[in-house]
Amino acid sequence: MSASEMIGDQAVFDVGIDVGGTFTDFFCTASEKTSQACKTPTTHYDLSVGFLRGMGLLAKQAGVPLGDFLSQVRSIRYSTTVGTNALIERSGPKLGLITTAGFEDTIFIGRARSWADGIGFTEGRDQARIKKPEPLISPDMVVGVRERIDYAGKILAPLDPAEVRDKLQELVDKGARGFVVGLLWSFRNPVHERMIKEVIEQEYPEDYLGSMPVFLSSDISPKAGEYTRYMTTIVNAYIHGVMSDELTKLGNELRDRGYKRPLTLVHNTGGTKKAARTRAVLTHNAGPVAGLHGSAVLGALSDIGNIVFTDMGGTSFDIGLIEDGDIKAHDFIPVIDRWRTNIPAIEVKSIGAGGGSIAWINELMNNALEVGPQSAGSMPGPACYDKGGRLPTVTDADLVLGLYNPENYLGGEMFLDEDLARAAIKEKVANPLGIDTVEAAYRIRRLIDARMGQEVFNEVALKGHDPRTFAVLACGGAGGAHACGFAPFIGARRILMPSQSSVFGAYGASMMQIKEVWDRSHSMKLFTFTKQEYLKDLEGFNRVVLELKDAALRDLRLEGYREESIEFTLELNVRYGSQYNMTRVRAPKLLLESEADVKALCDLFTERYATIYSPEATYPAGGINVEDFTMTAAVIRPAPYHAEHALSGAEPDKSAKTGERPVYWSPDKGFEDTPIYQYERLLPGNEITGPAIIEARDTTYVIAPSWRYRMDRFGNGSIEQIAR
Amino acid sequence: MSRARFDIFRSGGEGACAFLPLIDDLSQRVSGESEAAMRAEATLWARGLARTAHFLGADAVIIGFDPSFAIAAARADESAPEENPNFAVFLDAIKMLVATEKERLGVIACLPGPCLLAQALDVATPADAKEESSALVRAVCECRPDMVMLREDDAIGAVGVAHQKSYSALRNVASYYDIPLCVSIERMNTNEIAPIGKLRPAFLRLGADAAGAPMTAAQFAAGVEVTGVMEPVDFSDEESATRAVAAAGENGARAITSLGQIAKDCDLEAVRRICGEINKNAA
Repeated sequence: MSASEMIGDQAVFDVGIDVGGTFTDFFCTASEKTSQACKTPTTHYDLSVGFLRGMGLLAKQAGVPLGDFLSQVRSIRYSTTVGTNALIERSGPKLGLITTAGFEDTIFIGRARSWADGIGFTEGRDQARIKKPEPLISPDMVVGVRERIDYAGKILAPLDPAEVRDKLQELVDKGARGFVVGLLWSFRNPVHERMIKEVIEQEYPEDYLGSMPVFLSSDISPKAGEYTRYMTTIVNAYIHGVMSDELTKLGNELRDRGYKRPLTLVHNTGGTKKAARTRAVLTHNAGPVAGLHGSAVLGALSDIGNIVFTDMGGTSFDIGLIEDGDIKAHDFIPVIDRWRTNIPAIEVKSIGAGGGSIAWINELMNNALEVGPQSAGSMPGPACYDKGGRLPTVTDADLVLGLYNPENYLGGEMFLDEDLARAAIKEKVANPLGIDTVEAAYRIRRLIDARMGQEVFNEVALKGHDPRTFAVLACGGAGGAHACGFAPFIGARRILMPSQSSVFGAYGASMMQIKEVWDRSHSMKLFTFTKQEYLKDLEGFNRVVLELKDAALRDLRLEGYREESIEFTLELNVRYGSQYNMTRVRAPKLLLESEADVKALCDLFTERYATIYSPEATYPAGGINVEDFTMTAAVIRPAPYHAEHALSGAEPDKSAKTGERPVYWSPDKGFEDTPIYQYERLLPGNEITGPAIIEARDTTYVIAPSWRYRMDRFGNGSIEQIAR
Repeated sequence: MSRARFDIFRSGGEGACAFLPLIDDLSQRVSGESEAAMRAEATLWARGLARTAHFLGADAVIIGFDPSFAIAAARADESAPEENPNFAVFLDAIKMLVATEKERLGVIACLPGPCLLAQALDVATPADAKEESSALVRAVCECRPDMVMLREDDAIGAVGVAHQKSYSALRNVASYYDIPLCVSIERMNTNEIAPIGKLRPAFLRLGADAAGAPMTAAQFAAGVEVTGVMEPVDFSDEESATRAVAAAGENGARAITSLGQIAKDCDLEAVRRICGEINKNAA
């Protein structure tokens, strides 16, 4: 029975979409009661093709024509890679940078080891070949203007508009199609940056053909650190036009087909907002953040506070942490492509390890077998996809080992050719290493599992946590097939496998709130080293908080939300007196009303610091400074509905087992006949002891020996190690 | 002429009959250019086809029905046919048509099918020419036509595993670009058509049967599960063409094509009259 029939013709659909390197995932709820999902190959040449194809599949699943389906869609939450792709392909406009005279080389000098920012571990080892990336703004497109504002915001040298006009003309004559303005200390006093913008708008008003966009660093990123502030603004400016064009085109195509509401974009800060009111730079890496959010939702459902979120897709392996039910890890200076920025993004680490990761022989490392980070992507894809790919991938290895059913891939829509997989592995791995094809496939699989497991361990242990206290949530198209391989690396004995596993990013996107983050640098001493006193200027602290809160309220009111429906959270980047690194703490209340409140804040910081670095490392007497204020405003949304079912017995129905096939679990035992189950025929409460394979429409769950799978009352899977 | 009619045909909808003639030869007359000149210059080629399509009221343009240059490109470089100059002109012409005519006309790019290509390359099975045919299809799909037509004529023969694998690979490539495949057949007997269904083309274009008469959908395509069938009409015989046009809808065809190329030296007025009938009968 289709969703439309169940609920009636007035079904209301909410759709989450996540664009990945290989597949675009879709998750749709119908009147918040039923759900459906689908995947289509990501069409990098034009993301809207895959987007609309997926919407067509959802409509087909709902039993409704596409036009009717789209007119019944209430919201589309879209996690897009348009901006990231524009950066990687260098398809942005020619920009000019106007900065403080004498500091024109700031973005080229970078910070310390910026030449290594954004490159993977493998490339990082080959130091002789590392090159600084081509700058997004070339040196001849950078001009300096004489002006100076000090750390406190005081004007030391005024700006001369005549000089600005001359420099502007210089950039226009060189072909600038947009301007970035970044001046020293502008986040304390933006007056000069705003004057420059006024000059540009006077010279090239909006009604002129020569009108060009102007981006101020004090607007985009009002935070300390001129390199990261300028780069955040430059990256935003670089991808803004491309994103605007693509999303406008997509919006028009959707409107022509029946969807008349605004498109909502997922942000890397953990929320969603209308595309028209989104800054481009906040869309980078939003997909994994959506998945992390989904983990928090499922963790709350299953009453599990500590979760390592892992998403193994076709191209990348993403890792994030949920601590005590909350997303706490933020990347202070996240790298976007090769550029260090300072957006308040949630930290999700990505490595090039996915189903499409290519296995290759590294001649520089004594003919060692390597897997990734290069991926075969969706075109040509793994060799077994039969789209012209000839390089062996993880998916090819899994197929040869018997883990995948070649006739069940993507619900039977794609047929996998095992002969092509074998031929690719034999030619590129087995023959060079002098081993047989099956052993080569096994090594490929073990190697990728080890790489992922090591990364998971690093992420958890190096953040000060005991990995054994975490459950692993494994999702992504390939997550279910590899979870039992990498989870033991952190000593995890429990793995959650959500029912929406293969489209978890899209599921997470559909669960996200309307939310945005406003942040600003403002240095204050919460506890002074010299006087050993707590902050007295509570009004100064509260003024910053209230300004951020007002900015948030203004923005969300424009989106149509009332203050009563908005929840505010204040987080502070805090450090000890003379330290470099900062620690983020969540303030127990927005405003400080007394010294006791200040003390509570300082104690909270010390407690958090002790958790991460050990109690012996704390030193409150050294002074405690707050450097950045981050206000998150979220529109309150009721907890998403998840259908609950009565539990059946442990033994699955006979019809759930569809047969057996030989699967290679270990070199000791070789291929063993392994039971195969169909996921859709399992019921909550059923248990399956490994070795076993559970085949779902869009993914495969591999239950390794010594693990047991159980379906909970929400239809989600949980795999636990059986005590030996 | 209606892009909408072509879109209905492409989506398998009912209530309209698209008109998709072969006009390479006629376009030389309409443009006043030689075949060599048109093949050497993408702008001339694209513009010539577009003008001719508008002139006849066609719903889509079919470009590249002559497989010779694609075969030459495949012979020259199995993995990068786009490096071949003549084939590069073909690709440019497709891009131009897509860019300039997509609001008004569908664009159908034609290539030799894997069976025909295997014959031309003198290899044993279509699977032996899979790399070449995949490269050709990929290069054309990157130009984003609305459909790719694989010309097989009578080269398919007995459909075996090698045929299915070849077509499966091409379908995988084309589906990445969301472009359906059409198979064009000629000079086949009725009992030879049904196995073509195993190749799972989305569309079928019928040509002349073994005796030279137009194949009809009812007679030849009844056993093949496809989204749409293009039924040929003989533009050199106005009387039979008019009869065929009237009967087309009843036969289950949702598109009318020409029986081979509309000749360069055809009776243009008669052709226009036939086109008028086609457009009158189309919804």
